[in-house]
Amino acid sequence: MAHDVERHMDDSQLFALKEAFEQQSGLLGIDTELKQRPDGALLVIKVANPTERLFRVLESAREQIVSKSGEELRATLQRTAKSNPLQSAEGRLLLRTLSESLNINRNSFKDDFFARYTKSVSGAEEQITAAANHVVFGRRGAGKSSLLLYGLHTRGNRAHPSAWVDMQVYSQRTDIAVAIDLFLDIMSQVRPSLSTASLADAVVSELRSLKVAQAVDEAMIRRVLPDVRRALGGFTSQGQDLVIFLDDYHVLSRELQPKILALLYAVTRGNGIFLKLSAIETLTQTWDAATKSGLQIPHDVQEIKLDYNLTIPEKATEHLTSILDAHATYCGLSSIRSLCTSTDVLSRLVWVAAGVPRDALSIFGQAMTKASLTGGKRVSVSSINVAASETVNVKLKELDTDASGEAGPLHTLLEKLREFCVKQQRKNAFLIEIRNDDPTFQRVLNLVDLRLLHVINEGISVGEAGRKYLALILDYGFYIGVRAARSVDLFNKQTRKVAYKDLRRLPVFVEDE
Amino acid sequence: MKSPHILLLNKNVVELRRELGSILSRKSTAAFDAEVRENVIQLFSLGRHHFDFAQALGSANWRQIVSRSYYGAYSVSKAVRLAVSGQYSREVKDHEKVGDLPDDFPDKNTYANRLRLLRDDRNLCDYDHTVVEADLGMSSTDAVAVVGGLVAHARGYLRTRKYRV
Repeated sequence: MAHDVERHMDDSQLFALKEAFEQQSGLLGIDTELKQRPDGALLVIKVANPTERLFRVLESAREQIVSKSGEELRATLQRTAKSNPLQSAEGRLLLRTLSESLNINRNSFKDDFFARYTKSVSGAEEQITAAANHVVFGRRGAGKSSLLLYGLHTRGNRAHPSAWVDMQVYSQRTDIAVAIDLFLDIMSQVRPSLSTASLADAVVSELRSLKVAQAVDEAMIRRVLPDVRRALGGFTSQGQDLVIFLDDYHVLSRELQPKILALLYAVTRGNGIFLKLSAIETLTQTWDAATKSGLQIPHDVQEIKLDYNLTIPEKATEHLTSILDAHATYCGLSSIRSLCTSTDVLSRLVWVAAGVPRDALSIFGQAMTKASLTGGKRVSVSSINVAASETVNVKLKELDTDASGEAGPLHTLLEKLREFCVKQQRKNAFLIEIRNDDPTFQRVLNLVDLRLLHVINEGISVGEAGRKYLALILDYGFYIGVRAARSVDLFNKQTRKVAYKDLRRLPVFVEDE
Repeated sequence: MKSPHILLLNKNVVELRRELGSILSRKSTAAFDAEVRENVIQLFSLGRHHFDFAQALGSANWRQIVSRSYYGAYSVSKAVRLAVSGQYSREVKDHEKVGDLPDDFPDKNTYANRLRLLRDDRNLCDYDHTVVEADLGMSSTDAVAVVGGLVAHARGYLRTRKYRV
């Protein structure tokens, strides 16, 4: 039908309108029909789910073309079922959208941020917008950066000042001079909103001198802190507060983390300035007990845990489905389910992604591509399996980057767990005793943060009283799809509530020396 | 409309209220407000009446369904515009504003597009003897669905502004 429109559309303005709609909505190559009526032509744009966003785009495109030509143009959206949703303009836009969602930063989605954002089930949004220090903990892809961005955009809408620092730029730094770079970055972001601009400029000049000095130590930095504090305190006198967002704080070297927080806190405490951090918990140290410096939880900073996992599968399913639905609706689809062959697809997705939103988006996107390549019109369980199997390679690479110092022992333990689950026990789930002083248990927690293991129960008693066990599953990518292992008993693959008696029957893993 | 009537002044009642605010007594101001509110309620009620009539028709009467649905939408739109911006007009050109709902009205852009199209459809249905239902921008069933949504949204919208509709 699109060709019909182009061939018959002698009114070039209607064609310009179609193009403007495609560009502004992202629905490139959308189906259209030119209806010839007694009172003139009507451009009908056929969308799977004509939403308010798409009507807004159409009205805006129409105004744009009408104002150029002065002609009254008639165009509308019509709900139309798509015979091949994956290949439709809506399906192709969803694929691009999912891809863009994987690496979210402060510029992601811009004006559409709130339309695409799905609120947490725990009410974390109220906390992140509160006037207090917070650290958001969660695994990679759990939505930590999204939550911080929710806070940033909420403040932006209210014209409240904020500074956003992507800590990746300081990855692996071990020197205290990171604090100088941080203060310079923050000052440059907030200077336009400060009424005390001359004081801010003087502080920036002081910090720059320090930055070029050789052998900077903590004492030298501490000497400029009163000036930094005074400059940033300008917001309080303007009747405002300031929030500093530090995304992915865990990438700083562990020893440096509490030291930098101590320097920041010296400037922010009682000065109308609040810190909001995101970090992977097991790679983060906010407080150094030996030197009593940093931010102590919960006295100086409160935790927000985004621990969507498989302990409450129905909640994880609900949350992931909501996130995918928000993206699908944005792209003109009625729901994510409309792209799936059955309801089992989303259940399987929740398990293979282990409740982690970014993994779910990534796997679903890859599954869409796999299904399209094999001529499928919708995503099936087998395309999810194949995509999950390939995703594990990415996670293994992240193990090397996120835990560079401990990568070797983690790889070794992971290999032992694979051997134990897939070859010896032929079960994808197992138990391990909770012993916080045990290095093996600590490494298991690291592997959980890296999404190579997934918690299905956080504390279960088996046999001897007083001993608690963590129940986990090995990531699906190790034994399904292209790595399909024969006769591995998949634990709770239907995403049902897990019974304790089933958990107690799971094999207990003990690492050999 | 019988004279005398506040809306026959052909003025924006919100602006008129602002100008008269310092002249009228508190009692007179309250009477003015009550009169405007009563007109909003009556306009909404007229719209609903047209729409109820459209809904009761069989599908063979597609011309009447579209026509009455449109007039239902037009009166409801007038009620909302009078309540929020104080606009009221008896000019023919006012029909062009059928989709000009306030910025905070739910699905504002959807209604702007759909109601403009419904107005064109209504003209075809009422005046063009050659037209068939397939020529319309939306079917008579869709017209009822669109106006049904508008009536529900307008009711909620006006109720949050303390109009008893």
